[in-house]
Amino acid sequence: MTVHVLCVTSAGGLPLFTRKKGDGESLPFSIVASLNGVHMFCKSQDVILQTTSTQDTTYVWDEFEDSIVLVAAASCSSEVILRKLLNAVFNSMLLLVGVDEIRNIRNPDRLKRELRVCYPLIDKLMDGVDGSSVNISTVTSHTSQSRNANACNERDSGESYFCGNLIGLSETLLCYESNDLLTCLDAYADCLNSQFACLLVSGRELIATPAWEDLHPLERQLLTLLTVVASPCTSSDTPVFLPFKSPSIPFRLVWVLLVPGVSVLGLCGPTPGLSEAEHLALQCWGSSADHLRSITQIAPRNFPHSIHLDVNVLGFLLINLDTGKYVLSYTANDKPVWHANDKPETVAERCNPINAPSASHRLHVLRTFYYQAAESLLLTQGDLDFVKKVKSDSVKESSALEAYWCSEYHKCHGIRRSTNVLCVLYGSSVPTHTMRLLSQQTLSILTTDKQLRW
Amino acid sequence: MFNSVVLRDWQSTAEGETVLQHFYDPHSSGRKLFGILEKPNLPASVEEVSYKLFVGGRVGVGKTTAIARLAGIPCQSTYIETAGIHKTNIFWPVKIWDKTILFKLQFWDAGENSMKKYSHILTACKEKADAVVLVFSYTDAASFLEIPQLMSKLSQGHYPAKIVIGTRYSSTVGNQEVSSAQIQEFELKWKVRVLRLNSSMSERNEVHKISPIMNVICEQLWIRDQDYLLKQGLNP
Repeated sequence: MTVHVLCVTSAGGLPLFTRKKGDGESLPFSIVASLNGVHMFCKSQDVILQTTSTQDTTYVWDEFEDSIVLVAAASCSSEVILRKLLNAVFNSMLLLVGVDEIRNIRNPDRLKRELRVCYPLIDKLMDGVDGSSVNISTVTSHTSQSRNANACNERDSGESYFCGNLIGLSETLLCYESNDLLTCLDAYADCLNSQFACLLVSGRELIATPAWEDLHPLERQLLTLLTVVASPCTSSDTPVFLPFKSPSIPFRLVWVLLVPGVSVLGLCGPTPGLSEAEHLALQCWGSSADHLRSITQIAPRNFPHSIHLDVNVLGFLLINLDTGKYVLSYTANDKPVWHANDKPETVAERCNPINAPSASHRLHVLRTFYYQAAESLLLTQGDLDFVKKVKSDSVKESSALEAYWCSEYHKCHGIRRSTNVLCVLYGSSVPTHTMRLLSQQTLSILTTDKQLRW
Repeated sequence: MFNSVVLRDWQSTAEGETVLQHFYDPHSSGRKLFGILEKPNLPASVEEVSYKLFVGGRVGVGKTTAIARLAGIPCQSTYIETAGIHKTNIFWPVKIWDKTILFKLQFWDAGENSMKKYSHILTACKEKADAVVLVFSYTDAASFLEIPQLMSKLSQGHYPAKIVIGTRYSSTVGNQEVSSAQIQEFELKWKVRVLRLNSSMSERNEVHKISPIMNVICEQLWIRDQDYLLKQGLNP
């Protein structure tokens, strides 16, 4: 399971960077050269080379701004995902370097140096693909070994706090009591003289100003990820371009850590400076410290503890296609974290003692199910257009509304209802025909509560 | 030359250990990175002083890692270029004479490329800095030779305290490019003590390995303030 991404200039085929995720060998120079060569040759013949597959690897090419070519190579990944990855990689280059430097490469060496700041972001994006490329048969065969290892110190390892990292979508959490925080956020945005601000809890958007919500989902994902991949700090002031909204004029992304796990982000112009932004944050949020601390308890469950789902639900992924946001919970029926130490056995493990997959494994399965089944089945391009353009019921839908997988250890079921897609991970003991009912129930619990602000 | 104002081994005494308890992160083996709405839970009588420190040095010498070490928080092992300004607040308690004082050290760290590309970044970092922290790597001679020039470039304005940290120090591994004679000569010439950080972060006793360095940094800032007050007193 290795993912490679390489970037060369269109004009001279000069390598700008190569990144690798996974434990495979790096691509030798000769292969890099041939990958570029074959694309260049096709181009000279007026042919656009998009993709090819060998027995175990899929290759995808994409050219951007007539200036750079990105190539992705990965085992067990589909073309669609890799193309999304390349698009996201390109946009993270735009985010930190700006479109002008990429469009007119005057000095490739300088660009190479400038692109180094993108590596953490690109690596993080590739992480999402690498995880998703774990195909189901490998996952199940690993379960018995990994379960023992994971059971002992999963919560300590912090692994259960991993973000979902679905490319092109922004991750949020469902939470009550966010209204007074929204007031604080609006006040803070006003002080910053900015329309764009959002509050992050464990790297997930909790609340945001309307302008922030209007940003492209990929922009929101990249801005959020930027704070996640940065080395831990109290506050930061990073120049960023907005790939869709402002690709050539930079903003300042100012983020401040309010309490551990909670930070507030704002996109500012030349003022206020970082110290002043920090000072303003103290003024606006000072009275909410306890509230913010209590909200961090919601991760990694990511929806309120007062909501109870069916015991068979091990985890779920809820996506809103309209707004490009999602909620992912892979500890849906676990005890709250602060109870976990008294009682290591979770509800799910009690119902299904042998087969309960670990939290990180659940994340993998849900993500794989989303990429391989839900996305291709439930959200084909026609569908997306349908959702966006035609909102009348008279149009006959032709694509699937539900999809499911059954394996030895667990089952997955996905349903789409208007703009919402819900993928649920069940234990294997759930009868296949019951999944539909449980998924519908879960969907209505999560989406009909007005206070959850879904 | 290096008179001691800050009580050196205080953090290892019973009193120091008790105070330090408020600095640890219950979820990890290291210290806690406080958000701006919080600070260590110390008695209200403890005085708090706040300083701004700008961290400079050649690209890739390990500035960000050095800050993470001083803060007692985990950091990535691979090289990551810092994008924009990253500011890290480190709280550190010291004993000066018979008083416990809480130092809030605000380390300003900025990526080399961002600094070149956006002029406001260096200005923001240098503005009203109480100290410049110059970082070089023991495995990169050039990074050490740049220090004097960098020191005079960054010390303009209102006389920041100067602190020099050498990273990747090792007494055994043979890849050290900066000799102890060079360091001695430097210390004498510039009247600055060179602080050493080794490359491996040990889990055990990490805080006690870092405390001598933190104490020197706090002391330098304290001395600078005393000098300033003294001058003010002499020339009213």
